[in-house]
Amino acid sequence: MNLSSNRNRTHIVVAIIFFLIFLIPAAYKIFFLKYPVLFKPVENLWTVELKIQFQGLGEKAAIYHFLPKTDRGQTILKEDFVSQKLSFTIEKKDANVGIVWKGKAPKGDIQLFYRATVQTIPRTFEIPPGDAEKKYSPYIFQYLILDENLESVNMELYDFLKDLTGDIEGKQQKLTRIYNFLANEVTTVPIEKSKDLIELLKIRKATRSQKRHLFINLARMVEIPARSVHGIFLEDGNRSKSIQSWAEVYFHGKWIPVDIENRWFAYIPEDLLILYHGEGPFMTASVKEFDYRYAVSKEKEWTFSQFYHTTAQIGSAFHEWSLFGLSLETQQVFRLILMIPLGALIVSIFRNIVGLVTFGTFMPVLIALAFRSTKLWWGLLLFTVVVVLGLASRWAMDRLKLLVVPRLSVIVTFLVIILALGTIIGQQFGIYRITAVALFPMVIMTMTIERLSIILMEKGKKEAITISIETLIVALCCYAVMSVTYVQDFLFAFPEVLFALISFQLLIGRYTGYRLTEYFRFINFIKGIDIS
Amino acid sequence: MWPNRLKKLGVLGINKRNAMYLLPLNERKYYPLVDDKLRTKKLAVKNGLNVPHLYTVIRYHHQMNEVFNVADQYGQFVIKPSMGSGGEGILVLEKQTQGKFARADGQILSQEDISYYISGILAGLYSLGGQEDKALVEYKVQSLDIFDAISYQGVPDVRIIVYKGVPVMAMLRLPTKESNGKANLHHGAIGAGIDLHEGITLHGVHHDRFITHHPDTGNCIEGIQIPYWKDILKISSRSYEMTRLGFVGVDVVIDRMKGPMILELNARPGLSIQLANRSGLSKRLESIDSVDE
Repeated sequence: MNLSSNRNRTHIVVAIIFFLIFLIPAAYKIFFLKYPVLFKPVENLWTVELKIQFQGLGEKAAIYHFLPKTDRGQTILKEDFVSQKLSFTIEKKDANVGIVWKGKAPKGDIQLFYRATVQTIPRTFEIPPGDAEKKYSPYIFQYLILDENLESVNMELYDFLKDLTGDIEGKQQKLTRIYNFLANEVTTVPIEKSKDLIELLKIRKATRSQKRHLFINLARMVEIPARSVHGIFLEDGNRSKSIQSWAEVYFHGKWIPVDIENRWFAYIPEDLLILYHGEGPFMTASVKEFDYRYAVSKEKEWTFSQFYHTTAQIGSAFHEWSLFGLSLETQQVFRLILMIPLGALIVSIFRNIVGLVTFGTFMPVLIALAFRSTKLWWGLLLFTVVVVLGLASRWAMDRLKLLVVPRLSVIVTFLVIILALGTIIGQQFGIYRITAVALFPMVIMTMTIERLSIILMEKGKKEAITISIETLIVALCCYAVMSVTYVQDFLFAFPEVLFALISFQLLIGRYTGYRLTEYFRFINFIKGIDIS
Repeated sequence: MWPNRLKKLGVLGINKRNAMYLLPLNERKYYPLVDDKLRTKKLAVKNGLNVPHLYTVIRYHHQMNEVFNVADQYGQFVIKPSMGSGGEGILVLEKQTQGKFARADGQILSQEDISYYISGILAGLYSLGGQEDKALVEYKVQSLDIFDAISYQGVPDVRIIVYKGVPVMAMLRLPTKESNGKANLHHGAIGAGIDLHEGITLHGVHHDRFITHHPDTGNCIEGIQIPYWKDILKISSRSYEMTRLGFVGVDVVIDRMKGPMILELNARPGLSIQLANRSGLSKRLESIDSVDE
């Protein structure tokens, strides 16, 4: 045999071929299908989460609330509904979309979640000159009917309106007059006892909602359809239950927003998410005690999944037949699975180029995956417990002289006991993260124990601790890379990256240079202490 | 620069050892020949090489008493797992009176203790991956007087890297207190490089650091002539035709009465031997290759 086999360069050719298999479809997607490669900084992208809580009584319960809908000025990109106990149906009614959660609510705390990704676009409103239409469709006509309790005092209100707007022509001008009167002449007070609109006009004091009411009714009296609108402010970190309400009026087939208090006329700020139109509360429920709260967070970048939702109409078979075509649940699974080869590459780099020693070949990748489902700190705790148990078992084995399989079984049993205790404690103190320590990480930790005990026997305690630490370092690096959303999104949008990973693996597979750790091992050669 | 220095000295790294020597020269199918010490022993005997005499093999629990027959007959003996690695699980015993046995470090064991120990070996406590194993009961090698001053308990052995049947580098492995009488470097034993032609020890290495004296006995480990050197080289070079492994570490012990014998072979020899010799393996391997062509 001679060295020619070692100079063999076939692996480089194969690596290049695999790299091309990656490059060609990726280039097609980027240049022809216009897939975004980098995160696009984005304005006005928000995640809104609504959390509803109530006390279940073991009886049937129903909760109704409105949902934001895609409209001029706002796009709902993605919606998630989470309830462990209740089912839900979505209903459309007039201008609104609502949801009914219902089912038998078992005793205890019940939580419902609604999550939406929302993009807002600045809205502009222009009121064309000239009078509004004379005839309205029945749907619009309902917004001309005055409040029932106003009927009796109708005349007084008409007299007031005559004094205010009698001298001018044109609905639009009349509306402006009403707006200016309410905005400038009526003082806003936090609480006002009087509920009577006429009374309010006389004392020129009203609360915000009373002013809105006055405006809507006065508008309707000059035959302009008007109604309330409700929404929330999209502010990063906004956690509250306060709903903003303002009015809108119908002109030339368009609803024009008016807020007397904030002095918006034909304008609303773009960071306002409209929830529903019309009167009535945001949420109604058959249960007595319920509470809700929404949380808003600003998204700074486009992710590929969001990209997919906005460009579903991309229309290429290439796209339709990609991972994006899978159901959302399967997509989540694949986002994880695609990370495994990447983790394997990281392990290769650490083992063959850096020179760290790890339990088994791919244990670090599996440990990193376990960390993902347990969250990092619980994962680290679990790993430490496993290593300590392994070392303790070595100590116990020396004393009790147990054989391999029963000894491992004892450790696994101890681990299960610790997990059970941890979960019970977690439940009692409301730390749900511990309960996430489920079956999957269990299996991985058991495998870690087996590896650890083999190392303990073959190489001793000191070596086992060193290898544990090095395994942990590699696992943390895998975790760090694998949990980056960008990396996940990128692999998901461009799964052909896997072929590029193969080509890297091929190159590492034929790397015959020194490992980084060998520079330390052979440090004395490098220092050149009397080499003969 | 650093990286260049290692390369210039021809230091062999793990990656290069694996990719250029182990993978092409050591076929996996021959690994069991060296991973199972019983097979190695039989193979060596078949090839007319000297090995520590095998008294008996214990495969099943019911054969346990054979070890005590051996004890009655020979007094001193060694129990080792057939598939152990890195010197793990080796028990050196001497029969005392009243069914007691003394270990090399003076610890006294009962018959029961020994039975328990052997059942551990059989269950795979010391074998790779915990597979079931056999316990070998064999002759206890009698160390040479010249090694007494430079080893702590245990028996020193000579590790020789044999490339395509040619010994390329050798070291004397000396047990220390830290290594617990074992001659394995990663347990803390000392490696002393050997001049291949003369069989005289050169420099020492302990935990990858250069040393000149034994840490426990305080004696100089350099300049010691190893007896039977030419024979040791001959024995080791036979390993190639015997196992067909092109890159192998041969461990040879020297017995006071019986001379050099093959203790075991290693298909993945460690690279610290380069530090013990303060010399890189690559150059030596390449010079063999150039002769080959």
